[in-house]
Order: sequence, then structure tokens, then C-alpha cells
Amino acid sequence: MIGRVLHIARREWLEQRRQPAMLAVIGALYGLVGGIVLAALLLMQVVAMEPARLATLTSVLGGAVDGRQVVDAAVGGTVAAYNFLMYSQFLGIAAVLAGHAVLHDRQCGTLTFLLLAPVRRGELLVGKVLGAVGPAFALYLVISGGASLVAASLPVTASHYQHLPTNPAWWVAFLLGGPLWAVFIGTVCTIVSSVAKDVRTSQQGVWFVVFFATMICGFLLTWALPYGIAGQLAVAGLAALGAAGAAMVGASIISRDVSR
Amino acid sequence: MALVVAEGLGRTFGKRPPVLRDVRAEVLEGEVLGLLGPNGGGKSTLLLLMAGLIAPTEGSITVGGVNAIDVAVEATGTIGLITAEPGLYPLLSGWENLEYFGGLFGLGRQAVRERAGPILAELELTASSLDAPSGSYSSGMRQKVSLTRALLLRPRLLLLDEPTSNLDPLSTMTMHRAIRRQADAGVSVVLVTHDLYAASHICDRVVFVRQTVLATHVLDGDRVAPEPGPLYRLYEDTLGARP
Repeated sequence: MIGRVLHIARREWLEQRRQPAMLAVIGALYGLVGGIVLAALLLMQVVAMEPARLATLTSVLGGAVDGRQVVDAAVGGTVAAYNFLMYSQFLGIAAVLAGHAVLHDRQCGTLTFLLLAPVRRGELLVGKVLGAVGPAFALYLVISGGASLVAASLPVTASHYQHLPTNPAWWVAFLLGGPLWAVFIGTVCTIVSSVAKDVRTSQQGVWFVVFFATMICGFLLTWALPYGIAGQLAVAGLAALGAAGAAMVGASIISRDVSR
Repeated sequence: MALVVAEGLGRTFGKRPPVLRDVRAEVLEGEVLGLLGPNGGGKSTLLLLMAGLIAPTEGSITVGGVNAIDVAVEATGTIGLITAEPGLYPLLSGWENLEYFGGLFGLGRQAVRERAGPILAELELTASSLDAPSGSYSSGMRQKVSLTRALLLRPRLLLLDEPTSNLDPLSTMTMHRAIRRQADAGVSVVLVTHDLYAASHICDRVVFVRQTVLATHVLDGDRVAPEPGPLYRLYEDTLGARP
């Protein structure tokens, strides 16, 4: 079973590798958000490390608020926002790619031949989802993970360790929760693409799912960071349950009847 | 002996009128059975029912005594299929397509290459021509790769839905010869076509389908190979040497 799932996923990866422009766009999106966040944090660090600049900031704010507190709050908001953006970006991209997976087979005329092969519908679905999520996950791992590690190494972020790789729960969210939510949303979008009759219908359905799902999942993963490993495991468990449920439902929805 | 038996077969989609009703037909072992009829007459639906890709809404259809749907679910490679759409991934090479689909049936890369070799030779394709992305192939070459995929699993039943509808005369002739040879080797072939010339040369029997089987006709034509006419010979002499 695992062999067939990986066989299907590998073909998806192979096809995505043949579209380097698409991978470059995904990488650029990750890099752009990570770069902007790092630039903002570096700027805040420049202000925070110089007492004279902090004093200027305090005076600009009318002396009512301490400049150091303002910078600290801005850093906290930036790292929290980055977590949200990082997850919602990854989940959104994975969802869009998964949302074309079965539709692509319909358009190429290959779905008929897949349905004649000894592949269970669940295997086909999981293979498609893994294939769609895989490259987006690899780029997320390298680019978003790299940007987070750099952010964690900045002294200005020290007091916000909960939202950075210095927190073990962050790693659970990054390596387990995020990918599981991506698989869950990817599965839902693959199902949407499999029941859609054309590209437009599929895109409408996928974007509907993407909008709400990425908002909710991105918020959930970020919000649960202060609750430690247990909190993140609970969020990841929720995603795993959702993904399993969606895979079961999807397996029965991806019908053998190709006339639909 | 009949490999495929349809009895009282019908198929309705939703609340629309039935596409097929009360179809009674057989496909014998080692014959080429032509399905002829107007557009929308139900030929392709009948083919999908034989493939087990759609379920009948009435009656039954069996392949080798087993319900067609179960044959498809078992997916042992009993059924080979070609549709008018070749069904290849355009960014993958011909070999990658064959290896992918062969792999789904448990065929390793080496096995795919070994099995495909003689088929490609029969279809007048070189192994190296399959190294390019299949999206760059001509219609004829895509269909030949599709036929190679269908034959990789050495099917007992070969279902062909207008396999030569967009092909030039030389590719069409090559495909027809290959199809005929499969039948001569014992494979049952069902050919959906509008090409009466082709049907008269490679089919053993034809059935006329419009919502049901209206008539069956046994052909007495040449069962070995079509005899090309003078225009075909002129075409081959002029254009046969491929660049």
C-alpha cells in the first residue's frame, strides 16, 4: 500500500520538478514574507540596541510609553504574525496544488487509466495529496524554517521565544502540526477537485476552502504555541483526525464511475 | 467462446433518457468486434461498461464470467483500454508514462522496458523516441504509446474507443495491423469507430448500436491485413519515409 502511495506521489513530484517556474514562485513567496519579517526585526533590533534611539522613540511617543516596551511589543507582534503567515502560506499553497491534482488527471485523460489500475481510491487520494504537498513542504522546511532560525538568533526576539524555534512546541507545530493541517486541507481540496466538473468550479471550491481553512489553521497553530508541546500535539491530533476522516470520505467520493 | 457477455444491459445517467437499454451482446475470444453507430448512440458508454468503469443501471455484463465492475476492481490487467484521448502526462516522457502506469500494476522499470520493446517495434517506434516529453508527440505517436501501455499487461480484452480518429493514414494502418495481430493471438478486441473502411477490414463482426443493439453482422473480409488501395500506396510512397 505504501509503495503504491509513494509511486503516485513520486509522479506528482516529478511533474512538479518539470515546472521549475512554479517552484520558483512558491519559493519566492516564502522568501518574500520571511525576508520582510527579518528586515523588520533587524530594524527593530537596531533601534532596541541603541539607548539613544530608544530615548528618541520614547520622546516621539510623547513620553507616555517607554520606547523599549513599544519595540518589544512590535517584535512580539511581528514574530506572531510571521508564524500565522508562514502556516497560512504553506497551507494555502498546498491546498491550491492539491486542488488541481485529480482535475489534472481528468484534463490529461489519465484518470480513466488510474481507475483501471489496482489502486484503492484511498491510496490514490493520499498519493495525490502527498504529491501536491511534498514540494511545498520541502520549500517551507528550508525557506520558512531558515528564516525562523535566523529570527530566533536575533537578540531582540529573545523575550518572544514561545513563537520561535527556541520553543520545543514551535518545532512540533512546524514539523507536525503544519504538515498535518496541510494534508488535511490538501485532502479536502483534492476531493473538491475530483468532484468539480471543470477548472472554474474547482477553483471556486478550492479558494473557498483555502480562505477559511488557512485563516483558521494558521490562527490555531500560532495561538497554541504558548500552550507548549501538549497544546501543539492536540492541534496536530485534530488535523490528523480531520485528514483521516477526509481521506475516508474522499475515497468513497472519488468514484469508479468516470462518467460523472 | 464468449469472453464478454451483456444481458439486458442498460445505463441511465440521472433523470435523462437511457443511453443504453436492453443490450444483448457477446464478444468472442480472439475476435475484433466493431461497435458502429451515430454520435450519442451509446457506443462509448457500452465500452465503459465493458471496462467496468461505470456500473449498469439494469442488466448485467461479465468478462470471463465475472462481473465487469469486479474485474475492474480486481485490476489484474485483464482489460486494456484506449480512449480517443491518449491519456498521457504531457510533462513526462513516454517511458516515464509507461513506467508509471506499469508500476501501478507492479511492473518494474526493467520489466516495462522488456515488454514494451517488441510492441514499440511493431508500432514502428524507436525506444529513444520515447525519451522526449509526451506533450511534444504527434497525435499518432501519443496513441501508439497509449496502445503500448494497454498491451504492456497482456490483456485478454482490448477496448478501443476511436483510437485512430486523429491519425494520418500510415499511423492508422500501423495501429490497425497491431490491433489485428492482437486478435489473431487470441485477444478479444472491441473497436468503437466511425471509420467503416477500417471496420470492414479489421473487424470480424460489427454490431450497430443506437440506444440498444439494432443488428449484428458477420464480416467476410480479409482477416489478416487490409489491402491498401492505390491512393494509400501513393501516399506511402510519397510520404512514407519519415524524417
